[in-house]
Amino acid sequence: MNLLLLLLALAAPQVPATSEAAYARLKPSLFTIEIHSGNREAKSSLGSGYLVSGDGLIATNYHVVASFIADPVRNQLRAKSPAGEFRVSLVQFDLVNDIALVRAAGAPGKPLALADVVPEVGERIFSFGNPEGLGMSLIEGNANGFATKGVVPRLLLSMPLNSGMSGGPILNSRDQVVGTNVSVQWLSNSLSFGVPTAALRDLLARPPLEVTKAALRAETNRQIDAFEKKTVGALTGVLEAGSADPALVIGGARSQALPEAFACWDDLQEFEREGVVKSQYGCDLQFTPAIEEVGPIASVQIQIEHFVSSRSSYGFYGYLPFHAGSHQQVSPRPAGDPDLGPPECVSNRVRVASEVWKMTTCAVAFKESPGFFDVDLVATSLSRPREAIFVSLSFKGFRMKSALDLSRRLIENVSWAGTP
Amino acid sequence: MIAVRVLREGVVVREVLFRSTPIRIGRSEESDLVLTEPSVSRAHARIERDGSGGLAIVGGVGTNGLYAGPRRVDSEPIKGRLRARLGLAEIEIEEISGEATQPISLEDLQGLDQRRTPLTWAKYIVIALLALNLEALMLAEFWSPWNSQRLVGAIWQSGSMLVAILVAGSLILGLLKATGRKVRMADVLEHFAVFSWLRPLALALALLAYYVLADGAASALRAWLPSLATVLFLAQAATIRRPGPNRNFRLFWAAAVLLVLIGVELTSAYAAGRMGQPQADHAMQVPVPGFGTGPSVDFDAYAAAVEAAAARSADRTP
Repeated sequence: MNLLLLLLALAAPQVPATSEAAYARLKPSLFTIEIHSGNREAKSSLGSGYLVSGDGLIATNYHVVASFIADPVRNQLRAKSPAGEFRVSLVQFDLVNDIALVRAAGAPGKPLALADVVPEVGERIFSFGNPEGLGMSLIEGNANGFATKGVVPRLLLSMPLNSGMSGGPILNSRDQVVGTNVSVQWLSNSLSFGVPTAALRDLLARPPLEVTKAALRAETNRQIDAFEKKTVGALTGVLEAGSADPALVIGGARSQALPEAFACWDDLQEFEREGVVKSQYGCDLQFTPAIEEVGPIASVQIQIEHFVSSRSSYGFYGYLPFHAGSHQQVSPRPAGDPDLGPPECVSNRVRVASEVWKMTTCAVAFKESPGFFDVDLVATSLSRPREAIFVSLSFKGFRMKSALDLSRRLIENVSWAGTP
Repeated sequence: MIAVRVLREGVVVREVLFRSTPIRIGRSEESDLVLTEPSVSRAHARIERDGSGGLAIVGGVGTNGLYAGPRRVDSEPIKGRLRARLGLAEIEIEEISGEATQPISLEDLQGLDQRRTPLTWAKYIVIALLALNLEALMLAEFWSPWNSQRLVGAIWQSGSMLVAILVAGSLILGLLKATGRKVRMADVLEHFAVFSWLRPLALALALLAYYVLADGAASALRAWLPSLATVLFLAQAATIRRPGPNRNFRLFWAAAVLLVLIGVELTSAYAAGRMGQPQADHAMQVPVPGFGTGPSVDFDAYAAAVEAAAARSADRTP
């Protein structure tokens, strides 16, 4: 194995002497990908891409071409390189990993080689992309292995990616593609992510798609369905197996530890004037995919809170409904949103294990992906006068049955830590 | 004994008592009750007893006819108290029995023209404010740990309710006066003092219902009982200083106000639905010994209801 790596290293081009040289050498293989919905000068979406085959196959992100996939009739794909502007056709996409393949027939340029290995932790890397459409740019940084959270593997990069660079190549010092630019952490410094090359290899092996609105919609739904099932299976498995895990303690409440794919925070707030102590624990499933019209797919947010009040229990219960109302996250959508049904809610007092909860669940149906919903559930315990556990669950892009089943498992695992 | 009263602008100006029938009423001197009003015919009407002993007023051959309330009639039976119009003259006929003294009710008292001072006004307003403030104080939100301004809130509330009572009172007064009712502000304020208590009563019932009724039913009561109290309040307001039996009149107004209220409620629910706002009910109350949290359902039943709701959302995708 070591020998093989060594041979590969010897066979690869020499380390570029300077970034200027790298820029000059690779620029002909780089493209700006644009989606036009009418005017030739204006674009509705902008990203980057790179040649991966001699016959004009260009790799980019799914989210760069997502609006074309949603409506291939009204939108047009274009690719621009120093050699000119090309009409482009869609070949394949993978919405979960957020990559896509398009073909610019007749586009010149040398395809970039895909690396066989993932970058070492700390390895110097450089990347290309067209930030905000201002000009093809080279940025440098370091690879830091894979992000430890999330349901989809993501390269953890220290480099300042910007909007418009999505879909550009991430290269090692031997000019080999180790990944594709995909996203940045919001409000952070130079914390960027890439799609590992393995996902692109899988995509290259798939047959081209039929490019009609119906066929692309069917493929989108197939991918959503498979990913939702996989995510639900993984979460259910952990929730079932986790009973032996050390329990989380959230103030006077207890819960089973949540799967590692979640990023979690906790906090304790003392409201002295109000005589209330609030402990909270919140988790987000990381790197979940999103589709064009309706947003995140198989995304989960969990919040568990515990309140204890030293004042009037009657007034304490006067506050809890407001609290629950402020957490209901199914966002008000504008009237007649063409992609979503109206929110429908059900409230009741519901017994789960030994606790009675006031529960409200709202669901919003996806029009183009039948059977999928955004589901929001809030539950407040009702059995203790001066103490309450509050659970808020937000499922985006789930089957109703999955969301309800996961809700039941999560709430079953929440209990009181002490006697009243 | 039969009392016939002559009214002017709704107020009795003359009362004549008769022992026997028929009683002839008209402008001629031969009449038993002479009305000098020029629009009254010489022999305008008679009060007679029919075969079964019932009293009735029967019209004569006059030019301007006989009216019982708003209806032109040839004859009209007299049950209790009847107001009739002969031309422009208005009379009230009532058979007075020699039976024991009748106890009076609040409604009968309205017939008396009490002299009411600003002190009476103040008394009525204070009693009404007590009722409306009690309702506000019964709400758990008021006692929330996050309501740090309870005293200021209560004072502000009393102030705004005082203004509301005066504004709503003037409005009711104006409407009643417009229909020709002889009403004073004190009558309206007295109505506020008595019937404002319907609201805290309704709220108390709704709060108790939480512990014995299923969640949906309890929430519906919580939403509708106080509104129903307002409906009764307004229906009752329509009868202030209205003589005669008021049951049907009150029912009519209650139904009318209720319809308007339902209309407003449906319209706002529809508008909220069109704007895509989730209509969620988060109401909950503190557990009480003996009743605990009240009735609940198991998760499977709840999940089935949620799936049905989700299917509704799917059916209504545009």
